[in-house]
Order: sequence, then structure tokens, then C-alpha cells
Amino acid sequence: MPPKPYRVILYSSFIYLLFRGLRYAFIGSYLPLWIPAAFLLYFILVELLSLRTWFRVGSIVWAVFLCFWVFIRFLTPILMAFSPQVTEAHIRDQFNVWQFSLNLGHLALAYLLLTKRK
Amino acid sequence: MKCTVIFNTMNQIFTLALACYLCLTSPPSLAQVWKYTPLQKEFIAHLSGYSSSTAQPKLKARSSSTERAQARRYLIARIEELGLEAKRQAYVQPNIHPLIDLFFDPFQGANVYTILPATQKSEEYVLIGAHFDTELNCPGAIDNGSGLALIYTVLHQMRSLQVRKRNLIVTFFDQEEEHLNGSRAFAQFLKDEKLKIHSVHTFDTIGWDGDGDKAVELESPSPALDTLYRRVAKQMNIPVYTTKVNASDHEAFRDYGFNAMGITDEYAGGDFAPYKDTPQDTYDTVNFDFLATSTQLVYEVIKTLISHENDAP
Repeated sequence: MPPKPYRVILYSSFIYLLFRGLRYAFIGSYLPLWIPAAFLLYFILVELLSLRTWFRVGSIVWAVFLCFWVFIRFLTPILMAFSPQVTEAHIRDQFNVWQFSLNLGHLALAYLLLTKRK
Repeated sequence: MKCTVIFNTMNQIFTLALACYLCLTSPPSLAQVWKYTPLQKEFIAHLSGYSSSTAQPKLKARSSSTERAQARRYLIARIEELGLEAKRQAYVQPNIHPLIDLFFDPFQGANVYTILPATQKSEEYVLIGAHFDTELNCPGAIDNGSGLALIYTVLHQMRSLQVRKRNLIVTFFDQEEEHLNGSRAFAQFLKDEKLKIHSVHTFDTIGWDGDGDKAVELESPSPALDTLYRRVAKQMNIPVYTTKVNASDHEAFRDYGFNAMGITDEYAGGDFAPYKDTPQDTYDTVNFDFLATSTQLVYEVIKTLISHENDAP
């Protein structure tokens, strides 16, 4: 199994996504909870079964997913800045310092997951 | 000297008689229309940033959460000025597709509403509503400052009604421009509260009348409401057209099974605000005469529904 610091990075990358997934579940939308929950269950299972290779593959997939998540969240404000006809005020409201920091934080976690595997 | 006194007295008597004659011959409702125009002008001026209310910066639009919060505070203050309790109905709603939920936060907003109670015990409610949000960088004087001014004026007038046999709910909806989220949340709220809603009337863009015919459109009314509006409009010489347009707040209520209809300028007929959803939707473009006649039409209809419990549709 990967060393403990790596597992701390991995599991901490779930905190925010699980939190927002739960928040969505309360208002009837389950996809934001299903995806991180499924990954988390997968990691718990392969760790219990000591499936080292599967753990490594899973962590790469999860890190790529995190990169994709951040990419979409960075790309959208840029696209919206050039498309004033797309109003969606509540999406625009999310382009703030807090969300920017969250994106950077998750990108850093994804980077660590990809580079600190050994 | 004596002739001058006699002349002046005669003149005063004549002026008084003329004033009495005009008051008696003009429809009283029409006199009320113009009485509320300064109020409507002030209301729209504040909401569209033409002028600012006390201690508030001018509103450039009512699109972002900050702008909408300021508009909400203004509306709450205006309701409380009337001695009524203003309530917030906050909501959180998912996005229109779960994939968007995966990446972005949900819709968050709050409707503002007040209840004008019946003067006798009643379980029934009539709801009038208009949305207060706008598109990005849009002052929203017509869309939908006009609708807000209309329902606020109706509320203002209804307070002095001696007999109210139904309760009146007046609601300012949030986030109509974003998939009718505010009205959907309010419809759900009414369902949860199990309130007996007689009918829902929503108002959107009532400030443009290019051809000067004072015409309004009724959007998807029930046959009974259609008949009532037409009857009142005929007495006031206002042309009325019925359409099946379902693209505003009334659609949300219809989806929840309420007897809901929309009232607007001639959106389907082509005589509608050309600056809708643009930065040019300013105070200067509002036709206040049209707003006044439309307000009076709505007032007469809502008065009928509120003051005649059994014989109103």
C-alpha cells in the first residue's frame, strides 16, 4: 500500500466534494454525491483487500477526474467572459476568490496524487 | 369693487361646479390610476437605478446575488412601509442538469412576499406576483420593474378595501430569468404549506405600448379568469388578447397544478418592449400611462376576486 502521507492526501481530496455532494443530495440531485462516494468506497475496498496495483490505478483515475473538474471550472468563466449572451447569473456569481482557491487547492491535490505515488 | 367681488365669487362657484362635474362624470377608478403614477414612477426609478433610495447605491441591474439582495432589501422596506409583514422564502435548487451540479453550486435565492389578510375568516388565497431579477447589466425598468410597480400599487389599493373575503398574497419572485427558479420554489412552498390557492396572476413587462392601444395579453388563463378579465377590460375600453404563452412565472405554477395565468404587454402580438433584457431597458422607456391603465384593470379584477367570495370565478 502507498505510504500514509499519500493516503492522507488522497482521502483529504474527497472532503469538499463529499460535502457538496451531500448538500446536493438534500435537494434531490444525487450525481455530485455518487461519483466521489463511489471512488471513496473503491479505495476503502482495495485498501482492505491490499490490492496495491488497483489502488494505484484508482488514484490515477481519481487525480485525472480532479484535474478535469478543475479544468471545467476554470474554463467556464473564461468562455462566459467572451459570451455575454450566456447570462446564467448564478454561475457567474461563483467566479470568486473562494472558488478560485478551491480550484487551485484541488489542482494541487491532483498534482500530488500523480507525482507522489512511489 | 362690488362687481369684482361678485365676479370672483361666481368664478369660484363655477370652478367648484366644474370640478364636481368632472369628478362625478369621470370613472372613479380612472382617477385612482393617475393618483398612483408618482408612486409607480418612484418605485421603478429606484429599482432600475434611475435614482437611488435613501442610503442605497444606485442599482445598475438586479442580476448578481449582491444586486438581487439589494433589490430584496428595498422591496422588504416598501412592504413594511405599508404596515405589513414582509417575509423571505429562501430556497436552494439544483441546476437544470445533474452534470452541471457536478461542477457548479446550486441556485440560491429568496422570494419576498406578504399576506394581506381577509377582513373575515377565509381559507382561500389569491396570489399576485412579479419577478424582481433581471438579465446581466440590464436595469430592468420594464422587465420587470413595471410588473413590480403594478402589484405593489394593487397591494397599496387593496389595503383600503373595506371587505376582503379572500386573503391576498403578494410575491416578488427571485430568479425568473434563470429557469423560473424563484416561482418554482414558491409554488413548491405553497404546496408544502397546503394553502388553498384560488388563482395565481403573474405580471411581466407591462410598460410598453408602441401602438397606444392599451392592449394587454392574458397568458394561458382558465376560461373563468379569461371571462372576468375581458368583462372588466370591456368596461374600461381596454383591448385584451388571450394567448397560450407559457414562458414566465405562471408556467412554474401551472406545472404544479395551480390555476395560474400571466399578464403582459403584447408579447405575442409583437408590440412588446424592444429593449427587454438589454442595458437600454431604462426608466425613460417606460410608458407610465399604459402601466396605469393596466394596473387599474388588474386592480378591478383582483378586487372582484377578493371581495366576492362566492360569485367570483
